[in-house]
Amino acid sequence: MTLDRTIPPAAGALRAFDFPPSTRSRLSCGAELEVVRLPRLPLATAILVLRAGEDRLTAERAGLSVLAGDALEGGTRDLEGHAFAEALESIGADLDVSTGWDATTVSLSCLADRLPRALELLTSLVREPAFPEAEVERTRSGQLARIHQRDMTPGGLAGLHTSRTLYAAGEPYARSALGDATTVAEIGRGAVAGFAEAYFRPAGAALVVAGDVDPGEVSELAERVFAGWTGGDGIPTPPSGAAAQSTRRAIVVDRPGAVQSEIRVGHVGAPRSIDDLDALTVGNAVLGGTFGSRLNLNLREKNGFTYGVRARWGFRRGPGPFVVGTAVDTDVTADAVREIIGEIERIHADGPTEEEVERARDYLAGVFPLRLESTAQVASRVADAHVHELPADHWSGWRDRIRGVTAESALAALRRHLRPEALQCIVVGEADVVAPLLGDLDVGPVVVKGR
Amino acid sequence: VLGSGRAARLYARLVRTGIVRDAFAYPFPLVGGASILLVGATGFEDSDPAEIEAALVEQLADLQNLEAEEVDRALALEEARTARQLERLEPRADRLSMYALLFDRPERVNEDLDRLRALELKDVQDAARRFFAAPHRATLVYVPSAGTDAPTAAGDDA
Repeated sequence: MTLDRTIPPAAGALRAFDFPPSTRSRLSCGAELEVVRLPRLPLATAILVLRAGEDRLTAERAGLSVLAGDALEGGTRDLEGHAFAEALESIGADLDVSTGWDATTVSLSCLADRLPRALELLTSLVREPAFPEAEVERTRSGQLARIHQRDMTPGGLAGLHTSRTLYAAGEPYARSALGDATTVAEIGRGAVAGFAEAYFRPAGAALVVAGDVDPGEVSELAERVFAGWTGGDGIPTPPSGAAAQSTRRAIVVDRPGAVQSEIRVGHVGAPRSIDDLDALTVGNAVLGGTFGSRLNLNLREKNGFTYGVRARWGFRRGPGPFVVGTAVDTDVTADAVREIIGEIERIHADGPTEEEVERARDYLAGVFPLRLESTAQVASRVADAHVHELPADHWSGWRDRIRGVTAESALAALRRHLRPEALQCIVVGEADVVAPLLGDLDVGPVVVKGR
Repeated sequence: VLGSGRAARLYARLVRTGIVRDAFAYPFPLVGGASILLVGATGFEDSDPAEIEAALVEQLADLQNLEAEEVDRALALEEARTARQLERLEPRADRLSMYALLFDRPERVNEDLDRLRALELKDVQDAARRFFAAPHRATLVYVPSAGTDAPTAAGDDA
């Protein structure tokens, strides 16, 4: 049999996939509990969502939430640092603490029969963290090194200047969640312990457990380990995400001698709570969310400017950034910016075709089950639903909602949320070469800045 | 025992104590010839690479002084991590294909945990003595030079 390799094979029919069912309840301490039963393998993942995100903090304390989360490595009052790590690893449990704008999450994965001990350890870490002086100092030193590294790399600088350019001065989202060298250097053990004391609390918190577990037993266990845990002020109001300005502007961050430019084009985006999120997700997949997107086909395949370009919406509780990002050679920087803006304008004006929407829908719906293979992946999705106060059936209905998006609804979402007139262009590169060329484009005033 | 997890020796003895910023140890199995164990650390701005190397070598030598508790802990962690790896199709396919290719026995995937559990303290010490000795060792030192920036992938924003 001869295969015609010039024609892609037709995709098969989408296989059925049901998001595993779960049970939601409220614990006596006030925190929510959601248990997902996944009996495939004898494993379990628990994630505790705490309303202790960076959005809690003023600019003077920038980076404190990340430091407080990472400094949990100092263990508990009973089991400090190394002893706590030994206790966890002796039962084969891996612990991870992650802090973002909206929440701090403490996750652990282990064999299901070790869950009772693992949850005891997780709970004690959050309720009675030790924060030994030496561990806080070590964690702060590590965070300062990450900040230094961020500020030395073109990609890190581009991210930093994008936040500053998109958001109005004083907006939390105008800064980096990691903080900066000045603010982090000032954070001591007292501030770290105070942050945990205030925000590692049950009001607004949620415990998610996924794995080979019995929901009733997990509920009893959670009641036991959280007994007596009180306090917290619930779910805070998200940042308003006010934009710095509503018209186009270009910022060039000068790196003399740079052979490449880091490009970011975007504006203040939308909060996660928008009601047309699915249509926007599909529309964005067509614009720049997949390998076969318009932006990638244009800048990578047609023009050869870059290895890859992506359009992302940073969906947070408040309006996170919409950003198209790529890196190109210095001499094609302006050409790449022109093409990015052109693609945004075209999709905003005419929308995606029905064929493009169908491809994006099939891709998104098709890869969905592949990203839900493990207890950790499932628990992470469910925890995300709690962070954003999404309904209990959010993920079970997600695939059908994505498959229900049409070219018309995608265009409506893109028109509602994309704002070509407000695009901010940030380039980290050789200003002497790039700035004059950008001046010939419709990018608004061009401002050159030092690092 | 040496480099996997926060309770491992390199982390406990070199990172928590502030001798280095980070440390790691992991094997790099090869299809043919001798496989590699990579042991490394990242120092601070004022660290002396020779001192870091000496500290790492000291930890390799000290594997002769193993506690049964340490081996048990490493096995518990490895057991859970192996199970978690096998949850997902891609790592499962990787492991099956590796055993099919190298041993012509894909069913070996079902024996991984039993093989680990059968290990005794002496086995670990013997392997350390046999493979981690100075004649088998090479050291690479990376130091930053002034004025250079690390390359980044697109969208690698902090």
